[in-house]
Amino acid sequence: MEFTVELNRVTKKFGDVVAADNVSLQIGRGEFFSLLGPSGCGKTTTLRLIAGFEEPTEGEIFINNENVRDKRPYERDVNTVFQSYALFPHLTVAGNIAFGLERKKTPRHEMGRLIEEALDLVRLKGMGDRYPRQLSGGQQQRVALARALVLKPEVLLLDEPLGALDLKLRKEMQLELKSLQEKVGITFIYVTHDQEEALTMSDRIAVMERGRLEQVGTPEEIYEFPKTRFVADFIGVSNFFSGQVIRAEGETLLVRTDGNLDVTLPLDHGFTEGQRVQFSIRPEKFSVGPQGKGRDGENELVGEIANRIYLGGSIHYVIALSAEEKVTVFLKNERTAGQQPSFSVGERVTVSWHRDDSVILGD
Amino acid sequence: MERIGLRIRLLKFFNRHPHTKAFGILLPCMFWIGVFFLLPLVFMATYSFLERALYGGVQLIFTWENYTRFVDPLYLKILLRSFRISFLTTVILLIIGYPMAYRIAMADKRWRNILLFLVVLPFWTSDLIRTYAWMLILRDTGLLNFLLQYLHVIKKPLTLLYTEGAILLGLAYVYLPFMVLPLYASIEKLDRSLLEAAEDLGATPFWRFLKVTVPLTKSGILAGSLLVFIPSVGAFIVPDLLGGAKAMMIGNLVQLQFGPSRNWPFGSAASFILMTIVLLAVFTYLRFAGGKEAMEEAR
Ligand SMILES: Nc1ncnc2c1ncn2[C@@H]1O[C@H](COP(=O)(O)OP(=O)(O)OP(=O)(O)O)[C@@H](O)[C@H]1O
Ligand SMILES: [Mg+2]
Repeated sequence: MEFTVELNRVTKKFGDVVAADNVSLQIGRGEFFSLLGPSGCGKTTTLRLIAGFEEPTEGEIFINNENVRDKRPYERDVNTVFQSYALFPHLTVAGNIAFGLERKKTPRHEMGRLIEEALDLVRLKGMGDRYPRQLSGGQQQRVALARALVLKPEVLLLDEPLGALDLKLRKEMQLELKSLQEKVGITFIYVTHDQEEALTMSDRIAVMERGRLEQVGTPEEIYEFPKTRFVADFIGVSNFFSGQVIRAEGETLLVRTDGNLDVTLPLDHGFTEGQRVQFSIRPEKFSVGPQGKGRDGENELVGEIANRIYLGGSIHYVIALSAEEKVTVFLKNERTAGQQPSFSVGERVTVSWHRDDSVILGD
Repeated sequence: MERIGLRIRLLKFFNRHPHTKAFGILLPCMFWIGVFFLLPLVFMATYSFLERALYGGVQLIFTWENYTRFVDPLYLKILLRSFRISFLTTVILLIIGYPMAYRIAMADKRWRNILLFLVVLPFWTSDLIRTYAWMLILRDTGLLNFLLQYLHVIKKPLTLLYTEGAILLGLAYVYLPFMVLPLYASIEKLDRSLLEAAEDLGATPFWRFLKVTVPLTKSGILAGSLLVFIPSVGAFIVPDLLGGAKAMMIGNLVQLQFGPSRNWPFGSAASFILMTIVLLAVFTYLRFAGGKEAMEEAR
C-alpha cells in the first residue's frame, strides 16, 4: 500500500512531559484518518510534528515516502486548518485564500478562478470581500478550510476544526467535511476529542492516550473490538468485568468473575488456568427477558432491575447481577399496540448475551 | 460638613443631568490643557506677528516680517536639515528597533522584563549627561579616536564630532526606547498561530515578515515612528552638543531666538512654521502609511 504519511517510532518530549510516545502510524492516500483522545493526550503535538512546527525528539516522519526531517513547514506539501482558524485579520476572505496561491506564483487570472472555486466549494460564494471579523464562527472555519484546500496539498491536517461550533452546525459541518473530502480526494488527518465525530467521519481512527497509540483501526473495529480498557471506556459505553480463568473448554474460556459469576468467553490461547482476565460487553449486546432462550453459546444470568431510564427510542436499564456487579443495558423500545415488553425497577429478569460479544481486554 | 454638602449637591446635579457627567470628568483635564498648552500657544501666535523689543519681549506693532524672513536660504537649509536628520533617525531606529523589539517579544517570559528594563535604563539619567558622554567618545581626542589610533586602524584622528553623523547617532541613541516600546507592545500582542499559519501556507520567513508580521504590527510602527520623528525635529540638546554651529537644527534656531538673540517674535514664528510642517507631515504619513485599516487597528 502507498502511504502519504508515515510516522516511525516518533517521540516528542517537552522537558519531562512526553507528548508523543513512540508513535508509529501509516496513513494511506485519500484516507480520512482521525486522531482521537482526551485533552492533553498529544493529538495537537502529533499534528504539529507532521506539519513541521515541532521537531521529533526521536523517530522519523515521512511524507510521500520522503524523510522530512530537514524540511521547514513551508517546504512540506501539507496544510493545516488550525483549531483557532488563524485567519489573517488584515486580509479579506479572498486575500486569505490567495495567500498561499501567491507563494506558489499562480498567474493572476487563474488565481481569481481558483479563489471563486474554493469559495464555492465551502459554500461561501460572494463573501470574498468580507473581513474575517465580519463572519460567523462556522463561516470562518470554512474560510480556513478553503484557504488550505485551494493549495491542493497531499495532506490536510485539521485540528478540532469544529470544536467551537454549536451542536447543530457541528453536525452539518461534519457531513459537509466528509463529502468534501470524498470529492477532493485529499488525505485528511483529523484531530478530535469527540468520539461520535470520529466514528461517523473516519475511515480509520487512532485512539491516543498520554502520548501513546492505544489502538488503530476502522470505526467498527474500534467499537466492536476495543483492545484496551481505555479504548472500551473512551468510545461508547462498556460494562467491565474482571475475573479468573477456570479452564479452557472447546471454543470457550470458562471464567469466574470477582463477583462470583460463571461466564464463558471466546477462547483465547493466551490464557491459562488461574490467570486474571479483564473483559467488556457493550450495553446493546444484551437481551433481557423473563426467562432465557437457552441458545448455544449464550450466557444467562439472573438479575434485578436497579434503575430504568426511558429515552423514547430506547430504554436504558441498570441491572444488578451480584452484590458488586451491575451492568448497563440498552434495549430498543419495542412497544407496539397491545404489547409492552418493558421492565420495572425491582423486577427479576434473565440477562443473556452471546459469549462472542464479550471482548477480552489487554492492559 | 460644608464640603461634604457641596460634594453631594454636585453628585446630585450630575445624576440629574447625566450628559454633563463626561464634561465634569474632563473639566480638570481641559483646564490643564487650556492653561498650560493653549494659552502659551495663543501668546506665541500673537508674538509671531509683532515686532521685537530691544531686550526681549515685543512691541505692539503688527508685521509679517517674522514669517517672510524665513524664506532666507540659510533658514530653509536649517529646516531641511532638521527634517532630513529626523527622517533618517526614524528610519535607522526602525531598522534597529524592530529586530530588537521582536527578539524581546519572542523571548522567554523571564527574560522579557529584564530586557525591557535594559531598554528603558538610560532614562534614569538625564539625556544631557548622556549626550555629553557621547561628546567624550566622539571628539578628536575622544575614546573612539584613541582606540582606533591605538589599534593602528587610522593615523590621524577622524572628525566625528560636530557632524550630521554625530547628530544622527545621538538622536538614535536618545530616542531608541521610544521606538522599541511601542513596537514591542504591538509585536507582543501578535497571535503566534498567525505566524505559523503563514508558514504553513508556504511563506518563507521573509515573506511572512512582509505580509503578516509588518501589517499586523503597523500600529506599533506608526506609533514608534511618530514618537521618534516629532521630538527629533524639534530636538536641540543633541544637535547643540554634537552638531555645534555647523549642523544647526531648527530647535537650536528657536532656542537661539528666545535666548541670546532675544528675538521672541522670530522664535515664535519659527516654532509655528515647524509645528505646521510637522502636523502636515504627520497627517500625510498617517494617511498614506496607515490607511483606513491602521486607523481602525489603532482604535
Ligand atoms: N510547547 C509545549 N511545551 C510544553 N509542553 C507542551 C507543549 N505543547 C504541548 N505540551 C504538553 O504536551 C501534552 C500534549 O499536548 P497536546 O497539545 O498535544 O494535547 P491535545 O491532545 O492536543 O489536547 P487538547 O485536546 O486539549 O487540545 C500536554 O501535556 C501538554 O501540556
Ligand atoms: Mg489540541
